[in-house]
Amino acid sequence: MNTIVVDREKCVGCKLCYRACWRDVIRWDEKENVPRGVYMEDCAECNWCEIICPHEAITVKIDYSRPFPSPYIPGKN
Amino acid sequence: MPQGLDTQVYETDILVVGHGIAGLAAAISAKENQPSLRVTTVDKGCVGYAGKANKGGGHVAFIPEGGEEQYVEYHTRNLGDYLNDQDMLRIYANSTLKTLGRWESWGVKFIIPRERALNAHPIIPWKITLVDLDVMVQMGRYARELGIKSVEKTTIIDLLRKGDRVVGAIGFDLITGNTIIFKAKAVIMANGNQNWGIVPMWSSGRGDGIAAAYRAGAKMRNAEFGSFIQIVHKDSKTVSYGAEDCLYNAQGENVSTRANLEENLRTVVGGVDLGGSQSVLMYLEVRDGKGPIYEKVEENKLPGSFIGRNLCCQGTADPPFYRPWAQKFWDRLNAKNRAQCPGFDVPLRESVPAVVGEMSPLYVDHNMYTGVPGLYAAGDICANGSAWSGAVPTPPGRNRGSGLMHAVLTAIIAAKSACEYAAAVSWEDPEPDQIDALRQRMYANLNNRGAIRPTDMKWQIQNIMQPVAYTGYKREDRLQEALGKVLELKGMLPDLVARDPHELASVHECINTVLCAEMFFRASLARKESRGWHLREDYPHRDDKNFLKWIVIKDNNGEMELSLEDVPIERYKYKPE
Repeated sequence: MNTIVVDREKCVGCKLCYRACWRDVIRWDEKENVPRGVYMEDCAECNWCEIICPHEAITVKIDYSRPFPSPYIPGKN
Repeated sequence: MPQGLDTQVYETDILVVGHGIAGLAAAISAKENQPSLRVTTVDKGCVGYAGKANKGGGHVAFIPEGGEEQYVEYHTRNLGDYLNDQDMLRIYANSTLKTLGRWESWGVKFIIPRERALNAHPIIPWKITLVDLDVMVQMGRYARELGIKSVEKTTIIDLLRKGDRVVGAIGFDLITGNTIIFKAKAVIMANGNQNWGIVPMWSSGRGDGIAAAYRAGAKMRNAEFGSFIQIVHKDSKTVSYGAEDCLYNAQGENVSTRANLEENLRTVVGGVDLGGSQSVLMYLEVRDGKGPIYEKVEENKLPGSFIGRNLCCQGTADPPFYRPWAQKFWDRLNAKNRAQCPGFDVPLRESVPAVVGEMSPLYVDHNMYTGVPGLYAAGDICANGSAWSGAVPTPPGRNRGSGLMHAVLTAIIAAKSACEYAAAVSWEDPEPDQIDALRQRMYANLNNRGAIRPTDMKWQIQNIMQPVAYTGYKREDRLQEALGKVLELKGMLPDLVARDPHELASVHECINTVLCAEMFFRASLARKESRGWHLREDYPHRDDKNFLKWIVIKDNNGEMELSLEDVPIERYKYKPE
């Protein structure tokens, strides 16, 4: 599963990453005033949270090992 | 209804479901047409980022003045395969320049002036200009200035009716789970198509609007064309632009040539195929024990080429075409793939045909009216249902750049129709019993005793929709097998369980995707011929005698009812030769 890493030193709490996450993967932790990757199973690795962040405070680490369904013949290959 | 949840009610003259590009364009058009009307949009995402328009493309097709009829003829004969509504296609061809003008007036910047736009096709007058990927931010800003209200982080599950008329919608807040009810005079569905969730980049469309409209009595058309396929690099799941021309099998043989295909399967006729016939080629190789299939990277000339750099951001775009957001989007993804993805930065990349989908069957007429009073549609949700493009998954099918143009054009039309309707009708409240019943259905899977997680169900659906043997190269026995699997999943839907509102939205995505899959396979079984993108191994030829018809699907007391509607070819200008 993908993961999200937040650099709390750089994060200014502008919420742009939260707003840009159209799959509702990122939720805002109001108490800590930082983004949290809560529903990572739905991350589409569009990287919008990263490219919208003015301070490069957030990074999506893509899990390249996640499976792909059988492309050609069901259950075989 | 679960305890502790509240209900919030909004009243608006026009409700637009979805604030992606079609939704915002519809809302803006409606407000400009009738400034006194209250216009509200609602979406799971936030304004400026919702939908698909900012997920990598930004290509905008248009037809230059004087070329419209040539375009209609070419498209009908070569891409639509005579299954297109030629009148609707002509409306499209005659409206693109006007649409560009109105779109520009909303503060949207086009990167290339239209007089210097790129030729997108060697034969027909079909040009491409570009917008950057902040296009939705630009439109969102304008919508806000006009006084359009937007409700974010809210999913719409069903439409509310009074008799046959649609008078609103019901859904819930993704954060709190609270019920959200909209009362409206007219509703425009603009929340996208069905993309099965297989390729991450296209995972915005989950068929929520298609399913809600179907349950409210709307018809569907051309559901069998919902299997748009792109070639992707298997490990990164990223589109391999240009790979179709340099594919090799495990024996080192070039399999990109279409020479081995039967005549009827050579579906590329001077157009941009983007994976349809290649997927069949790849499937045949693998079936015959010659897989897997690889992209020979050194032979792929697209990255770094003029088109690759400037249209696809594969390489740094030249200054006149440079789009800061698009460049950043692609550079970031490509850099991660190169640095972290095993099997990406290698001479032979394993490539697979990935089913994107683009199933968009909501039936609309030329006014974007669904046939259900008060209900209109715009954009991807009805791109095949309007039949403008014919026998090809839409958008983009073999018509790159038409998705954004179609979204804005149909939004303008839908807004005009909805405004006229809203001005002419009085307020009607939804029936309370109906609200109670829909609310009960909406929360049924929340903390129930079910044992199936939505992520597990999605994986099972993807394993039915992805294999080319089921969805790309069809045959009676395989289609029946796939339909059987879908119906099995349908029986398991009550056992889905959600622990919170986000997961409940995922449950409804599963319910809606299973419904769309059933439509796709039933319609595919009914079309016993090969036409356009619909390729049948057992019926390899086009059959104009029996299938110059649209397959229409409608709900009949919980059963899916299919019928055939004649394409009015006798009154159309272009007829099969």
